[in-house]
Amino acid sequence: MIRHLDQFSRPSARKGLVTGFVTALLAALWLGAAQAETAPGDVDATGFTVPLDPDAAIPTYLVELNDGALLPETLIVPAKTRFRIQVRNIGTKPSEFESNQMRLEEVLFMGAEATMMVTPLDPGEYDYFDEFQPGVMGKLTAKEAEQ
Amino acid sequence: MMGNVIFIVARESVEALLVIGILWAWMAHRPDARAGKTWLIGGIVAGFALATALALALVGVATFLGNTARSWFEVAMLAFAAALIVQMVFWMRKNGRTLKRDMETGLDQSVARANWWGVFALAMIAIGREGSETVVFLYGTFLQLNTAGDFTSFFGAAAIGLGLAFVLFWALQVGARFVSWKWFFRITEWMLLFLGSALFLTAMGKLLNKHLAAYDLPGWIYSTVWDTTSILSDSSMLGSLLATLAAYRSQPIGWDVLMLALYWGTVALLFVWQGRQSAARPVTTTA
Repeated sequence: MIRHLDQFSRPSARKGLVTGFVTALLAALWLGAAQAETAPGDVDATGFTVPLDPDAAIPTYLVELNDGALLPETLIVPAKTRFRIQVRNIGTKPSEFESNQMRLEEVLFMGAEATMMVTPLDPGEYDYFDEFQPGVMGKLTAKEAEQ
Repeated sequence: MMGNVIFIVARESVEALLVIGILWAWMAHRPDARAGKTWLIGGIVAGFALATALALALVGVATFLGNTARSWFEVAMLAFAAALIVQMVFWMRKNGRTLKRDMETGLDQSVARANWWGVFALAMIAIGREGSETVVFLYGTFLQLNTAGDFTSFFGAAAIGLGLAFVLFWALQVGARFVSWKWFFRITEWMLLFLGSALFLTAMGKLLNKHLAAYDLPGWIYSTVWDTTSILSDSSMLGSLLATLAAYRSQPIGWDVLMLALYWGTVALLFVWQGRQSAARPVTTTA
């Protein structure tokens, strides 16, 4: 313990530590800025929607329901891969997230949140909507990754 | 907003009122109609209690089982309702012929009692399931009301929505009276069998998505079999009504087709079996 402190108090080690700290801080700031830029539904360079956690084994996509509005209204996901949809009701009215084509149905009271697993989809287009506030139709596109 | 209330209430009540309307009309043709209607009304009352319990869980003021347990409960409830519908139709088909004689001699008493429980449970599930969604919707909307005018139009809209659904109930009762019994029964039994298929498919969809999600089933299970979205999308108003009442899907996957085949295959087998039973029946009962 004391020896460690001793080591770090040596000028060269301290300099290394400071440099490392500054680098880490900059990296954190950069990452933070990068993350702040991705809103739900943003598409990455390969043409797919950016999941909540890009490193997760099973990607999760966020859909927010706001009094009939769907945020986002479009999602682009890899075909033949299972994924999750996390739905959050941020509006002032209850909603029912529904998709016959993806076999999903979830009633969400104000402030409620639910995560649903979606089975691997063939390439194609699938609807999702708020059954309690009809009007806006969300569109999820499943497509193969370009080689 | 009030147009929306009318629409949602009417749509959510259609399924329950279809089941109850048909059962109610059938009752009128039974000699023990009074007992039957008592069981049916009991089921409706129990259904409102179930709807409230489920709604409280959805609103989040009460916990009703855990998340996983609740979704198993939903799957079981839907599959049970589908089984009850099939059983009910077969009971009615069997009794259509021999009803009066059996009831008068008291032969069918114990069988009838078991089936009254079926009527009770079916009415309870029909009201409880769709009812819970309606309760959540109405309660949430109710919380947003401010002025006396809001309240008036809200209750007015809810009543109109329910009234529209009751037109269906009323049409079924009128139909039972003016269409010949044979035809009324033929048409309504098919309506019920289709509704049963829709409930079964919804149950199996939940089973696949929620409880079998971790397993890698063969690829064809997940593959789209056909796509009729361009003709009639199951997200459209008519398409989603057909999805609720008759298991219509515009992009079914292998699993959906397999489960519908399983349902209709079972129904067909029961038809054949029942046909044989009733063919053999006169020989054994004339003694």
